[in-house]
Amino acid sequence: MKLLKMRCVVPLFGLLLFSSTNISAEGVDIFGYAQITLTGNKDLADESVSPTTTFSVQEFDLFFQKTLSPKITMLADIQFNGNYSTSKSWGSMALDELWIKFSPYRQLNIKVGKLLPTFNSFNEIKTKFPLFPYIVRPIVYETSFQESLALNRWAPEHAMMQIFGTQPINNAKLDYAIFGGNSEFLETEVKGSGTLTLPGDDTTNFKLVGGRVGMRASGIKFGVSGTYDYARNDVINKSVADQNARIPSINEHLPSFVPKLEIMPKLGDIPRARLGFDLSYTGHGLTIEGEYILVKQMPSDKEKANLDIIVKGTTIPAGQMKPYAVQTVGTDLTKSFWYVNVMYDFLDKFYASAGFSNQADASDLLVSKDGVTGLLFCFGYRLTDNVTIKSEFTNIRNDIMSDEAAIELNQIIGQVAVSVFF
Amino acid sequence: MNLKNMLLAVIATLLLAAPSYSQIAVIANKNVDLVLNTNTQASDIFTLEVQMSKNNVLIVVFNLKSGEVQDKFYAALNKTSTELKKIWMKAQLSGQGKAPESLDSESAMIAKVASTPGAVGYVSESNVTADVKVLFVIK
Repeated sequence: MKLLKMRCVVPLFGLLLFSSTNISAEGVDIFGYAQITLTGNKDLADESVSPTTTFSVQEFDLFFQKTLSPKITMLADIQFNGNYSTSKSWGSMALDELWIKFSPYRQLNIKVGKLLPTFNSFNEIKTKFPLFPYIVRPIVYETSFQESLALNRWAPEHAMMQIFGTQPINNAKLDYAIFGGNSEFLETEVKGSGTLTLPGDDTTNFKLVGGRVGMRASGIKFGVSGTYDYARNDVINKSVADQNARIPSINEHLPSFVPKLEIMPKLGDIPRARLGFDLSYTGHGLTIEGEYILVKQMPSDKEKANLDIIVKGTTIPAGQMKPYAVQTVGTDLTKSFWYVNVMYDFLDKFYASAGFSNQADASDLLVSKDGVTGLLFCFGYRLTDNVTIKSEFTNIRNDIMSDEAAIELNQIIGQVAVSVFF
Repeated sequence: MNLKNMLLAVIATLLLAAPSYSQIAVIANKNVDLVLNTNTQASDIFTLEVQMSKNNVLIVVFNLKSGEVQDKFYAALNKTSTELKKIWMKAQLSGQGKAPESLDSESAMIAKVASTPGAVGYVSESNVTADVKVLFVIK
């Protein structure tokens, strides 16, 4: 009966909200942007891989915005990536944002819907290409690396509700935001030796919470951010599932005197905290910005014991990859990331930018234990206020911080792009 | 003509030839209830940080396309043209506000501000008319 009442109340509330809102006579604002790129890629770690070049419509975003009343706004962002085509199964389409914002005061704004949460400085604009000088973003924000780096484990991807505001203090401004959203467990679930895509509902009883506090004054902006949720560690669990799928066959061929391999446990829900710092300066044509993100997991004694079993079970025996046994998973689940970028606008039409980033995952002993670094140089020309031509040279590699990674990563990416805002 | 008269003539010529450095007035539609006392508060309006007047009217910002008045106004806000364009674009793409419409002349600005509820703009003080109210004079 209680559930039935809830099911009646929620849609009725929705009707009341929209029927009592005085819809103005203004139309819907439609705007957006697109970035078209020519990318050349060379793998310096593997000479047998030929260089590639490709054109692509990297991203196209269409925004719909309507001011429902002086204090209520709504926005929708539909995003198309990677030469999107359903007939050819290219790229992807997503509703990247859809929210309603109620702004009674400058000090109090409430957004509800699917939104980009305020975490550090870049997270809110990570998909908005006209706002930054580069084509390849700082590594943990670069969605083309999603498959290999599981990006949303670093910065929160989306939230569903955010309360935020700004309080002027003399000539400075105090910014604050708190947000909440679905947990990580709504995307995919690892089963057997494959993964199962879930329908996008969060079936867990815990959620993501987080926030940021920062100050702005005289062109300087800095802030501290944090989140708390539970990690699913599906990159590790995928390795476990793959290995477990092979165990029956391996055991079948083992001599009787050799102990049989045991099925490894998966890692369960582990509490996770993120801490972020951001600092930037803008003035006299110069922009210097940087961020740091630390991700810590707090496994229980049982999870630590499971992790020890997984570490042993996923170690590659000597002779298969290297002359010595290669441990693929580390017992430390800590991740860290930082980047620094310097950009200078000259002659109002041109800019140059250089940046350095480092992403480290202590549990990934194959590729990024000591850090995957990105070095980039950009040059851009603003043809008009709405059209920018960007060029970028990027080197992504994992041998700068140390040369102990089992798999060498060293890629050079050269890109030219046209970024259009309309 | 004696020397004194010649000097007076030269000074008068120089004064007449000198450009007029009129101050910049931040103007608004007469229905806007807003108090501005500092350049920082004016900057908050034009960077879209403040979007509502005291009487809950949505503020609509207008800008000049170019010219000496625009240059002086931007300098008073301590922002370059490129910085302001980035701020407006970020506000629009984040759903925080709308980039201001740019107008060709101060007379167009006066006409637009006078006829648009919630409008705020800027012109040189000497060009202000009775059709709009002055919120603040840039120092």
